[in-house]
Amino acid sequence: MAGRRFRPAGPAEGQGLLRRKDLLLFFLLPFLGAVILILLMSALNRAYVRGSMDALVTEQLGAAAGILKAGVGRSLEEGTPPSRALDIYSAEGEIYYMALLDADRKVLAWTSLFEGYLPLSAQDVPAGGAWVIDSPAGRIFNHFGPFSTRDGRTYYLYLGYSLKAFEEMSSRSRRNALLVFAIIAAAGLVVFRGLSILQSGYVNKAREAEESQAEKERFQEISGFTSGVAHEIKNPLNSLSLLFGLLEKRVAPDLREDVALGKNEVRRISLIVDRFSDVLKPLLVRPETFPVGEAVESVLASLASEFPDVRDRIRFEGDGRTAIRADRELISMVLANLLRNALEAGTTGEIVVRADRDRKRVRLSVRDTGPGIPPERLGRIFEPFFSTKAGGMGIGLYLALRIVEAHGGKIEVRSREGEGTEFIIRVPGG
Amino acid sequence: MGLLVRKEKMKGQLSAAALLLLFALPAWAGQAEHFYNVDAEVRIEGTVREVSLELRYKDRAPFVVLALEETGTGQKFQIEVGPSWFFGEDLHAGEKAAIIGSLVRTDGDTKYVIAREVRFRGETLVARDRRGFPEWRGGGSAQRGRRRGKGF
Repeated sequence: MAGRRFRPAGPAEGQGLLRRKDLLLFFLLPFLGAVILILLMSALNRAYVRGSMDALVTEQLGAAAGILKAGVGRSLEEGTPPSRALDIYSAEGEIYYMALLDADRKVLAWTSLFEGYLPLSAQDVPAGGAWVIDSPAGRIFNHFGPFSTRDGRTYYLYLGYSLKAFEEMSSRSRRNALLVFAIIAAAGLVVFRGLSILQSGYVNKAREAEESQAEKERFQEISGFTSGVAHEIKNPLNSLSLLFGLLEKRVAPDLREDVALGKNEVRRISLIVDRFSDVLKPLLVRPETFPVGEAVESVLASLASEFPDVRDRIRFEGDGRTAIRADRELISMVLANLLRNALEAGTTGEIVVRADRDRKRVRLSVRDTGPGIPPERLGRIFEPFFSTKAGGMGIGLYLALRIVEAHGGKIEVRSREGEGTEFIIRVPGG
Repeated sequence: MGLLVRKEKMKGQLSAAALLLLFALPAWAGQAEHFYNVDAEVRIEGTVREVSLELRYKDRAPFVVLALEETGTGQKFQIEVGPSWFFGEDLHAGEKAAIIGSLVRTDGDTKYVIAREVRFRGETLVARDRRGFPEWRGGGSAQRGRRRGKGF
């Protein structure tokens, strides 16, 4: 299938790209910047929250350790053995392990939720007596600090407090941050995509308008120039035609045939000039509502003088009463051009003209079973002065295209070599 | 002869042992020094002389304990490995083994060690992490002894 391919020179190709670049510059980059800023702020915020949480945990658990120390100290003062004193506060729940050490930091008793797990190392204990370690059971807050009983004995209490609950809070906060980020990113991408589509549509429409304007201006320029040329040619042609007419009457009989030939050639030149003038004239559309069948019938009648068997070769399908809103003369000209092409295409098969209602439009088609148009030529057939026929001027299809477009319609062609060609026109319905 | 510690083979014995040992924790079992002390890690290579099951922790399954004789010195060690279900291997008296673990105490001419890694037959059984956290309490790998690399 081929639609209209011919386009006059339009604006530079890079213009659209430049606009896309602008879009990237003014929308995508700020969006990415905002996303990066959000991520950065989120990371900083989480770092701050984590730092604050660690400080809070250190403080709170330090206080809890103080209470434990007081309790254990009391038990020890009462003469309770260290293992019994610890058993009262045995490791359970959030406290993973506890140990009681003497003044020489020798473990006197310990208790742990995990068999033999008491990760107390001299290398780990910092000056502040509080640190966090990672374990398969999650992060563990460690506290190591001295306390004294009333009788002056010094002990150390070591305990490990599970930070699982805090980790879960932190994890939930991270998940929520990621979710918010994902939503913002998705929304941003949707907005950006929408803007991109709008911008693309705008650029295409603007380019089409510019191309159309340029085409119009170029056409007016050519039209003015060729009208002048046609006018200048027609005057001497008229004189020549009159001269040949006089000569025809006065010349010797053996030369009359040559003079008649000359007269015909002059008439042919005049006809060509007229057709060029027709093509280059601005189209003035006078729309009216009429049945398609009437236009087809008038075209068949006009073609009958050129092709006497036209009614045997052309068949009309569809409802002839289908109303069309168009310029009767111009649409008839289009149909005549298409049918003339089909009749001259060298087909012996039937040519079918069909009219169908297609929602608010009328679909008119002309299908022949001729040799078809080679694919490499198919894209150019609507160009002016391009013809696939020997002796063709390449005006008929160009004129058909102009007329259809002047009606706000579309024309397309489907062709397959050896099988035939179909032209489809869509114009407003009545 | 080595003691088979594969779970299915040991099932009957374990039940009986658990019953017998339920109220028979060793006298030192609750002793203060019996924890994995990361500051007291040792490496030992020797020959397994005996494999047994012992109750080491209150309300816990019996642990596989290896009686090991160190190569060269002849020093005797009692190596606490882990619960029998986690160990899940046949180990026989007379086999060579290399241990990385924490020396927890010395009783007479025997030293007591809690194993972190046991290498035997070219494989390494990881029983605890570097801080002594039991692998059998640590999620996915807790189902069975995690092994890595080649030993010896």
